[in-house]
Amino acid sequence: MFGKHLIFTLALAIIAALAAVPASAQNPGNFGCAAPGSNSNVNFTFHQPISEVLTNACANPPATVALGGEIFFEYHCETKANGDFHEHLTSHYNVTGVDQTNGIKYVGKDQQSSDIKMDPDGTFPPVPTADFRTYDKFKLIAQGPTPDMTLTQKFHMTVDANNVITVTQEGSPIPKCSK
Amino acid sequence: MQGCKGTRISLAILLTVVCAGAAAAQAPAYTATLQNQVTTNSCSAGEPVALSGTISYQVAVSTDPTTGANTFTITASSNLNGVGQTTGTNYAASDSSDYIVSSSQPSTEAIVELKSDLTSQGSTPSMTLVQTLDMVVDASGNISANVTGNTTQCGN
Repeated sequence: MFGKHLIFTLALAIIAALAAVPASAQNPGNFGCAAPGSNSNVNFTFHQPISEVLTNACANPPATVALGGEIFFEYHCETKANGDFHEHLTSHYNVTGVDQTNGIKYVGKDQQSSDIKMDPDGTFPPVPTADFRTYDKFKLIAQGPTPDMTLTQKFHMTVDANNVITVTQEGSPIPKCSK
Repeated sequence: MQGCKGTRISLAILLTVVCAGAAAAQAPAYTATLQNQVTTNSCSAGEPVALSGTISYQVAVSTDPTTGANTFTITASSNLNGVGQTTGTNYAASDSSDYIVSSSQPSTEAIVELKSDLTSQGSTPSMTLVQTLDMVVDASGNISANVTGNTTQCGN
């Protein structure tokens, strides 16, 4: 079972590496929520390489920063005591950045979680589905005497009635200027 | 002449009422007040901070024309001050974030994180404040929300 997960995760990583932005990753199905009342968790993890160049408009003058590394997602679904299904998603950011003008490096190791009540799909027994968008914030810590950067990244996460989980990166990370 | 004046005044009153109604629709759907909620500190250089202020929630509900599902767009905004429990340093945090949930149901629940810079007003280091918000929203735009966690983080 874990071997299958590993093979699939590796395949995903290769496919995702070749995919163009907006990037997305998904499982092949059958990894979603357990049957109602079973109260078991189903876990799934997948990785999304990140490689892009962004403009830090917060800097003066604006700087070009090349990002590398990966974002990986941990997903699990659980049945609550009242029978509700909830999906729990954590985005983990392991990202580095290099300012293309002055060579200053940034390191980002951050995470953000969300937990959404899932929808019954209308069949019986109901199959839980979900559709959620989040604007994750993650920090890039400057490895030098320049300000840190906070980036916002929009993600669209869906779970369909076939238990296929898809996470789609919508747009590029956007630097958030300090007030 | 008198009738004309009366009509103008009535129109002015009507416009005022309409404008007031539009403004009210854009007011925060719900504002929660925090009073001395102490953060759990997971930052080696940081300290627990007692937070006071508000978390405001705005909700927009629309219907997906294809699926008929409700789309709940929730904006959570923090406006907080804090006092360090070790050093007495003052801190401030102000930020917002959007969360969008599509659901075929008339209401839904989302437990999300709101991150903001907890900026030191003194010589202590600033931190990142991560607040856990448990939100229940319905198709009328009503929202109930609780802050169920306040933690602080620092850099890598």
